[in-house]
Order: sequence, then C-alpha cells, then structure tokens
Amino acid sequence: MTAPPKANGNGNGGEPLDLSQLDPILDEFKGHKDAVIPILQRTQDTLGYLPREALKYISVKARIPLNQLYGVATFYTQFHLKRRGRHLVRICDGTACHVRGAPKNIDAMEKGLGLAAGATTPDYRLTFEIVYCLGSCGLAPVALVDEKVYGQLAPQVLVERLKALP
Amino acid sequence: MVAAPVVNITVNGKAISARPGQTVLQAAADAGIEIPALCNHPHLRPEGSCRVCLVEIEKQRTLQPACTFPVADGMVVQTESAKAVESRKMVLQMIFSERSHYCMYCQMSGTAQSTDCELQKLGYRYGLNHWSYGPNYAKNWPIDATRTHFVMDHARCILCRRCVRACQQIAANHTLGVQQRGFKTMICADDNVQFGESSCVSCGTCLQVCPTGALADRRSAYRGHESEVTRTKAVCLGCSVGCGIEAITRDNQLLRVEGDWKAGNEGMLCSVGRFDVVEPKPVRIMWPMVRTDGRLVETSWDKALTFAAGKFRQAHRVAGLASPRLPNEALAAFACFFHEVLMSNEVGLLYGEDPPLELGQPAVLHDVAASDCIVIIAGNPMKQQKVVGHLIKRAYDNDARIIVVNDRPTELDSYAHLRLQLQDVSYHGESPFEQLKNTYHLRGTGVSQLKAAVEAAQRPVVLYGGGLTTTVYAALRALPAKVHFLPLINGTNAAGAARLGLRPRPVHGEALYVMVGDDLPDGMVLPHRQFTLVQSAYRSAWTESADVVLPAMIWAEMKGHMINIEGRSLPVAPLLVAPKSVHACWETLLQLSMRIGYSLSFDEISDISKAVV
Ligand code: SF4
Ligand code: SF4
Ligand code: SF4
Ligand code: FES
Repeated sequence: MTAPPKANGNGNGGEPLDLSQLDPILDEFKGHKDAVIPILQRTQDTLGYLPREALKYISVKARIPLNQLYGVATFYTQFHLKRRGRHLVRICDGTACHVRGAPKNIDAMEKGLGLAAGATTPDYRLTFEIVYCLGSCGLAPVALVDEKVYGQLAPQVLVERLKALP
Repeated sequence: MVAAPVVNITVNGKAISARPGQTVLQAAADAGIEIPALCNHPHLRPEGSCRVCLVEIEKQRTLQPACTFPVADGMVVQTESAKAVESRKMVLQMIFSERSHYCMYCQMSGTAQSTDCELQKLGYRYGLNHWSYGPNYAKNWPIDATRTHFVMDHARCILCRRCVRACQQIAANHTLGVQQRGFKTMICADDNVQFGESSCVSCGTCLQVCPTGALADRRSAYRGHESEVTRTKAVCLGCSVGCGIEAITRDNQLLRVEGDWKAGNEGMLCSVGRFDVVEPKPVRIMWPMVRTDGRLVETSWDKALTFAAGKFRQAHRVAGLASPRLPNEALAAFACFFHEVLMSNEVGLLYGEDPPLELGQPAVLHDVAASDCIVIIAGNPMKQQKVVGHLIKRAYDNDARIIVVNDRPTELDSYAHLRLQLQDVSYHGESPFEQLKNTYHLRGTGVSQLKAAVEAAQRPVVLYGGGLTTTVYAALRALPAKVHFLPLINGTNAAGAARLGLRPRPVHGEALYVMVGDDLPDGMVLPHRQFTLVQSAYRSAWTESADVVLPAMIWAEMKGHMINIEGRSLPVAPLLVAPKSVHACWETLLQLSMRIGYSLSFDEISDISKAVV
C-alpha cells in the first residue's frame, strides 16, 4: 500500500464545485449529529459523488468530525469518493462468467478502452467495475451497462458497444 | 425493581461483591482477578470488539465479553474454563495473523516477564509459540512517520480502536477514525491524510493508551522496558494548569512523560508537557562564569559569588527579576534575599501577567469537563492552558453551551453558541443613553444573556483571563452563586509568585539579578544595567549579555511546590539528580547573602514558602 493521498484535488477534473447546493440538506439535518448516512446519501444524490471538499464542507458546517464522514463514506460501497462516469459498466467475474471468458472481457476493457477495474475515463463517460454474480449465470459471460444486461458477450462486441455510448 | 446496592457474583469460584452497573471485567479486577482484555481500557468507554475477554457465564448460551457484560446477582463466571481459553487462543492467533507482528523488531517486545506489549504478554500467557495462520505480509503495511514525536506502524496495529476513542473521548480532538471495513479496515486521520498533515495536535493521548508497538514514541523507544525504568509522579511546569505527570526515567535521564490518570488532568497532557520536555535543549551551564576581558570565563562558585556580592554591595540599588516557572521555595528565597539582604523592593517577575482576581467559588479541572455551560472570558485556553482547552471541547461534545467573550479571535470561537465582546458584559457597556454610559446599574444585553445562560445551567463554569476591567468583574460577581470560577493564569507559577508579592513589573537599580531557572528567552530582551547576574540552566541570549552567570537546576531537578489555576499547591518532585556543580536556587542565595554580610537563614525561607501554601 502506498501512502494515503494528500488532501488536494477534488477528483472532478479540476471543474469547480458549487458546495452551496448542500446547504438545504445541512439545514434539514441541523442538530442531528447522527444523521451521517442520510446526509452523505443526499450529498451524493446532489453531486453524483462525495468529493473531499464536500466532506470538509459538511464537517465544518454540521460540526461532524471529518474522520467520521470519511469512515462512513469508505465503509459503505454505495458511497463514491471520486466522480463517476455517465455510464456504469459492471462486468461479472463470478464463477460461471469467469470460466466462460470474463477475463477476456476485462482484458478488453483495459486494452480497448484503457480502463482498469474501478477506474473512470478522463472524460467521465464510463466507469468500470468488476462484480461477482449478477444473477444471470445462464447468459455468461455477462456485463451490466447502466440498467441493461448484455449476455454471451464477446470482447470486440463489448468494446464497440461501449464506444458507441454517448 | 430497586437496584441492590451490592451485586453478589462468583468468579472462578471466588465470591465477589460487585457494585451495580459494573461490568464483569471491572468487578473481577476490583477483586484482583485479571481477565485478559485488549480493546478495553479503564479510562475509555468499553466497546467489546476484540473478543479476547470472552468468558463463560452460567445460563448464557455463548461466551460473553466481560468488558461490556454487566454484573447481575447470582452470576457465576469462569474466566479460564477450557471453552474460554480455547476461544481466547483462537482470537489471539487471529490477531497475530491479521497483520505482520515481527515482535523481535518491536520496542515493546520482551520476555514473558519483561514485555510491554499487551498482545505479546497474552501470547506468552496462553502459550502461543508459533503462527497458526502465518503473519500477513501480503500487504506492505504502511508506516506513518510524519509526526514529530511519534510514529505509527500499521503492521503492529490490532485495530482495538483505543487510540480512536482516546482522541474522541479524552482529547475531544476527533482526528482519528477508522476507514474501510473488513480486512481493509485501517486507522486513519481525518479524511485519510498523513498524521503530520492532519488535525492532530500531538497531545499523545493515543500513544499513551496503545496496547502494542503500533504507536511508538521516537525518543524513548528501545531505551528500556517498564521493568527497567523508574516511574515517578510529578507535576508539569509547562503552564499554570500544573497537569499531573508520570515521569519515566532511567540512569538519571528523562525518557518519556505520561499523563497521570489520577490527577485533575485525568491522563491527558498537551504536546508541551508530554513531548517538548524531552526535546534537545541548548547547552547546559555547568559552572559559574565571570566576564573577563569581554569574555565569559568559567570559574569557581566561590570566586563568582564573591565577585557578584561585591558588585551588589557597591550598587546603590539592586533590582531582581525571577521566572514565574520557578517553584514557591525559590521565589520565596529570592524575594526574601531582596527584602532582607539587599533592602530593595525592586523585585518582580521576568514576564507574564498579573493573575486575575479571585472570584466566587473556585472550580477544579473536572468541573470544566463536567460542565453544561462554560463561559470563557478573555484568555485563550486552547493556546495557553491547552489541557483546559481540551476539557472545554469535551464538555462541548457532551452538549455543554459554550459562550466566548473576547475582543480578539480565539481557537474556541467555532465552538461558541454565543460570541460576545468584552464591552457587552461590562455593566455600562450597552446603555442607550450617552450620559449614563458610566453608571453601573444598567444591564447590557450581554450581561443578561450571560446570566440567563448560567441560570439555566446546572453546573456552570466561568473561565476568565487577566486584564479585565472593574466593570466586567462587577458583572461576573453578580452571576448566580452556583457558578464555579477558574482563572486562566499566564505563567506557570504566577499564582504562587503573586502570593509572595512577586508580579511582572519594571524594576529599577543599576545592578540586576535575573533568576531564570530553566526558562528560555523566546525573543525577550533583558533591560540593560551596569552589572547583570543571570542564573540559568541553559546558555541563551540572556546569559550572553550577563557579567556573571551562575548555573541553575532544570525543572526535573527541583524540589518544591507550585500553585496552579485551581489554587492548589502541587509538589514539584525531583526526578533527576542535578550535576554536582549545580545547586538549588535557595542555596545560591544563602551563599550570596553570607558574602554580602548578612546571613539569611534557611528557616526564614521555608517559613515564607510554607505560608504561601
Ligand atoms: S494504533 Fe494502537 S491503539 Fe490504535 S487501534 Fe492500533 S493497536 Fe489499537
Ligand atoms: S496525538 Fe492527540 S490529537 Fe493527535 S491523534 Fe493522538 S489523541 Fe488525537
Ligand atoms: S496544559 Fe500545561 S501543565 Fe498541562 S501538560 Fe500542557 S503545559 Fe503541562
Ligand atoms: S476487551 Fe472485551 S472485547 Fe476487547
């Protein structure tokens, strides 16, 4: 493991964030020091992710220790500290998909789109995640792009489809 | 149901009378039965996460954590039953394998008798002599050495979260937290920044409670096990709070300082008291020096004292300045020397502030932490009486109302529910009529706000700094009788000095005697005089400008008393033996007085300093 990152950069490609959008949320939960999860959920709904600045802003305004916000934000997989792509690509690497060629699809993401697992394209178009079982083992290998399931997927097809997305 | 005053339980066949509300672990500990525990710490709220303390309790289907399980009448507990021991061994093996505990490189590691690591101690106790699951070196566990005084090695961390709770519950600093979950769980600071860049104030409370070698003190690591060092209770002379310390010494060297759990500071210290005292200091002065041909030249005590005595005798008037860090005994001797021997009233303190006037019922430190309404008028405790600052933050966490009255910004402003200016709380401050501005019977809205807040509270405490006007004092005196007051005194023993009539003031005379002790100038320049004698432990800009320099003891060598902000007389215990050529201040003064031709008796000095207490 490398040293923890320094507290700079908002993970938003340098675009400024308008944190005052969070004020209504903080007003709503004013005085509820234990409302960390709803505050983070609403913040993520508003901003799409949980930038460091937002956590700091909440910490100061709602007087919740920063470590508590960060702890909760990293404990639950529903929270994201980095800005996500417009489309979410989840490739299943569960047992069935794995034996039927998921590694090739994962490889194609890396080679064809330059996307490692957990990464987002610099233009914030795609975010790629590996998951374990999407409950469609009959269609293996499977990928879920946003809400749509693609079954028996070949690497070239996957890359082309993703390239075609807006 | 009415709670019985005594709860009778049986632990390992021994009948024990426990108090209601105690946990099994506490009750057993009071009866001398030690139940192994790792996440539990007597001064932190139990959280029951490590599972090392699991014990067998009759009528419970599964093993239960002794550190959180409350006692109940008739309870029968087995702490070392086969089932409990088997589970404990398994838990210990898993803890050892969660990270990579290469004990032989750790400063805490030792033999079964000498180890200071609570985990290793249990390893020995339960016969763990190999890794059942192997060490976890899959991960390159990080070491964070970005803090000046102590280091964190994650490889040795058992995630007991004592440090996190200490930072929350004792320091109320909320730097430490836990990130991620499962096997990725790590202790981190703020939003996972390096410790050195975090909100950590280096109070070291986390270091003091860590059961393993994960948090390591840079200066005392590898310099002795607990069984090889001496622990002495003493008092910190860093500021007027006078926190209780435990000094860890070996071979006449101070290795480390810890907070005394039993003192008013309840184990907490600030970075000054815990770490600065063991940082390297300027060159120590070992022998008297007399300026000869423009240079300070070492000489014997006799020569230096005789020379200085001659100068003092010749001088029309001799002035004296003493450091407010000195104990009562040294200050009493100094004052006595000026009044009785030199017949001079030109004696005062080197720096500092007049302590504020005493008001109403005095508060003790614990009152601050336990208060439900704290008013801080003038002063800046987060800077000048740091441990008090943390006690205020602790009270804030327990929903105390915080009111800050100050004309300047303070570190506690962001905690204030009400922020006022000093003029708001002076009786004539808010008169709407110009001509009535100086009448005392009109109430400013600040005063009524203050009164209302204090009246609504059950345990209000007012902390007040120096330099208040009489009208502010008048407003404070008019507060309800239930208020407890704590003066925010600047200068470690300024309270003791004030009782001896020594206050910071300009002094006049063509000769000057400056009793510095182990203080350092910090940019302050001495007034220029025809002849200056400086008695100091360290070389500094002050000694460089002196005509005669005499050695002095450092705080850890002195014996005496100081008076802290609670007005209590605290014993200053000698922790180290001074070098042979360095003498106590009062002894120097006796020798000097004899050479001046007046023999000051020691009884006289001790009578005066006793009268102060
Ligand atoms: S650093 Fe020490 S106190 Fe903190 S969790 Fe790790 S082992 Fe426990
Ligand atoms: S040194 Fe004090 S402030 Fe810093 S992490 Fe430890 S307990 Fe918290
Ligand atoms: S608050 Fe004052 S007395 Fe307490 S540790 Fe810090 S410097 Fe020493
Ligand atoms: S000491 Fe009881 S669970 Fe850790």
